[in-house]
Amino acid sequence: MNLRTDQLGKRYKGNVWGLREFSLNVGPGILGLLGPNGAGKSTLMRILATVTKPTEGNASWNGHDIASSPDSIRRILGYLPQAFGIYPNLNAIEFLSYLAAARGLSGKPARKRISQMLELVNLRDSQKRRLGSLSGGMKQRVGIAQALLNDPELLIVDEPTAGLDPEERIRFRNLLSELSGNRIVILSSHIVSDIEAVATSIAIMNKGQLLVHAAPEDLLRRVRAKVWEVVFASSELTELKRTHIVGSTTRTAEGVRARVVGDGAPAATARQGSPTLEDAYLWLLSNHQREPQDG
Amino acid sequence: MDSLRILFQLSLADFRERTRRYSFLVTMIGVMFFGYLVITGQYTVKFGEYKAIYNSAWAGSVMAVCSSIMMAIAGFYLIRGSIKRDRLTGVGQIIATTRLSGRDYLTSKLLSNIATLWLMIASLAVLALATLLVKNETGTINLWAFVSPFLIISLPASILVASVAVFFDTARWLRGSLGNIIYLFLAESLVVLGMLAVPFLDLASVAVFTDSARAAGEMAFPGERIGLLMGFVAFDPVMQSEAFKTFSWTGIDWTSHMLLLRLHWIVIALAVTGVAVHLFDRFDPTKSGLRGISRRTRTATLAEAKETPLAGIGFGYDSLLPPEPRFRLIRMVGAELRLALKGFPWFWYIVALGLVVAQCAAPFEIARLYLVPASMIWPLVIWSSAGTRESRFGTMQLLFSSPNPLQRQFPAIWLAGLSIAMASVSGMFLRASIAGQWPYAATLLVAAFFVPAVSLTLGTLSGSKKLFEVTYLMIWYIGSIDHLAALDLLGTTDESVSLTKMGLLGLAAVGSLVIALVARRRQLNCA
Repeated sequence: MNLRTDQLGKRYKGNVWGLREFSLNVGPGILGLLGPNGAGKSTLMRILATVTKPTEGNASWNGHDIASSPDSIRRILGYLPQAFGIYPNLNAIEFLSYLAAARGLSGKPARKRISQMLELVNLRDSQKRRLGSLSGGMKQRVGIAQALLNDPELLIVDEPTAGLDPEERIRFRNLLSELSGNRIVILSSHIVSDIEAVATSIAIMNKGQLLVHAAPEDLLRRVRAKVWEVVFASSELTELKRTHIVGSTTRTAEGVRARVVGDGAPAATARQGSPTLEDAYLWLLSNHQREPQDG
Repeated sequence: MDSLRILFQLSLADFRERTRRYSFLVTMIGVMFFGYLVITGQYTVKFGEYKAIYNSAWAGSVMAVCSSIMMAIAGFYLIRGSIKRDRLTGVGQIIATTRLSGRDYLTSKLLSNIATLWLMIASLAVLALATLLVKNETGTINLWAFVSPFLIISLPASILVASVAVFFDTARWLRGSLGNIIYLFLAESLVVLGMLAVPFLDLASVAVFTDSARAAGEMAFPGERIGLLMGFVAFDPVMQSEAFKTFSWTGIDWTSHMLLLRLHWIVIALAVTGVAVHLFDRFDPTKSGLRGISRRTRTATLAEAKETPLAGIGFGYDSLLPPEPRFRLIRMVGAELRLALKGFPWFWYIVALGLVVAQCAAPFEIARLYLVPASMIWPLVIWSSAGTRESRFGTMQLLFSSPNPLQRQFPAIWLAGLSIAMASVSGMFLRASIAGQWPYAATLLVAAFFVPAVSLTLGTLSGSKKLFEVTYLMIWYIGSIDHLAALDLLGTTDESVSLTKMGLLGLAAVGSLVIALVARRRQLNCA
């Protein structure tokens, strides 16, 4: 089971590159895609989900080119787009039956599978309600159920926790962990904690390019001895942000406690902190954004 | 002053938004084609063997009257939908939270509608002027005689159409396809009544114009009776004659009474807008109505919309048996049918069924003339949704990432439409077959193939229901209600049943499906 991209690129109108020279090799497990808005995560996922064709390079599933033979991947694909629609006059069973038919599932096996998926996402009680009357979180669960209808070997979920409350986010992450055993799951988010909790490898993207693809532990090693905790007066925070990479901040009686990522201590009073994935993400992103000026 | 500026800005933004759409370019091409039909005399006013000299008054008046008729019928469909767009895109919800009043909002939509129609009229006026410069038979140009018909005839007519479009977009029951059908009947009735010389209903001033020109002709040829023909006159044998008797006509002599009758359309337009303001729900979703469910259910569902927790998620997925996909087209067609038929109020199904039963029970000619056309307009909204649902509801990515979307889901959409069309005419099809009226039965069969094919094509190409609804409504009305044989898909009269036409329609259906397939393939590649 292998998903591979080689120099993948997507150019939009106006010569804007959504993705460029993106090369990656992924095996079973959860690949977390991290990046700011506009980093190219959704573009990459749409290409892998055969919804969009790349402008250059190629992507392959077990050696089969996705762009030239998209149906080789569609049979084993589950896809939850970032923004997806529903038919408001159908209920959950009818909507899932419709998508099941499009995926070649019908009759009794389809009914059974739909029932299982509704059980899985805990929508049995609402399965006969019009989708138009469901809340955003419940619609998102219908989206999750449809992505799992065909028991996909490749599951692509784009910002799946959007619209879910904190408890649901945790439960969804648990489901992804359970799914990751013998399949490839690609999960994108700009919420670092979502990725941190489940990903077996992480790809950080910015401006359509891959900055790094590594195991979480490896990313943490990159910022070892680079994370500092320091307390500043509130009035000095703006200046600190201008000169340093500042992560999370918390108010204390003494002032603002800030996590700073950098080669040197931001102040004499600074203490070294234990690195998190967010620190590594900020560090890599900041270095990449500085590159054009430096270079 | 501020509110005027705000109104102007709102109208301008709306006008820009619609004129920058690709569909507007297509609309303008259609409008210019209509203008071409008028200037080449294929759609015009004729007086039998008599002909008015081609001068400024004639060129301006013919274009003004014909364009007013076009606007009254087709213009409505070209401009409506702006409020609906705000509703669908969520912009309306933002507007609703501002201090902008419903009156100002709808007035801005009215102004934008008017501006769009005036742009069309101005384009047609320029075309008519260019033609006058070439074909002028008097050697002089009288600018007032040319322009005044546009100002006095077309502008009030356009203001009324613009206001009715606002009203139909605001009133809940008229927002959708039902509104499109009702409007067509209203507009056709208005145009016909105007031609029948009911002065206060003469929106396009047809009677005023033709009476004035015929009076000039009868003055030039005393004692002779001058005939009148209006509309598509290209195939009229008299029109092929070159031996016209010409007379001079210098334009309508507008009396104050006539001008008041033009002004009263503006008053009606303002009243219609006033009613729309009263009906405007300010994008409140609780007033918008949830289609297809009862009030009791609606209250219950809204109350129950509290979250049930995601308690069960993440348990035992690996213990589930994986499904074994095996595609069956019939199942996909069934799924498309369920999707297409879902969400109508209960009486919709009763009427649809009643029409089919009535086809079997009513006298044959009554069924042929009235019941079959009614059955073939009743599912309009089902056919017009074909090929558009994916873009309208945002399910494109889900479907396009399914296996073989071109070979599986796409043909199923057409087959579902075909099934509904066949079911709609099934009563009459059976009767005609039993009675041995094979040509008529075959006509119904071809229509059942043709209509869903065209709907799928126009829906896929435009991504909107409107293009098919307007096109089909026009063809259906002119062909099967007005009995123009060439456009009568349903064979309501013996003259409209022809093997050649059936062959052409069959070919057109196949060609249409090929175009739809290519368009969908392009969507798949460009999504």
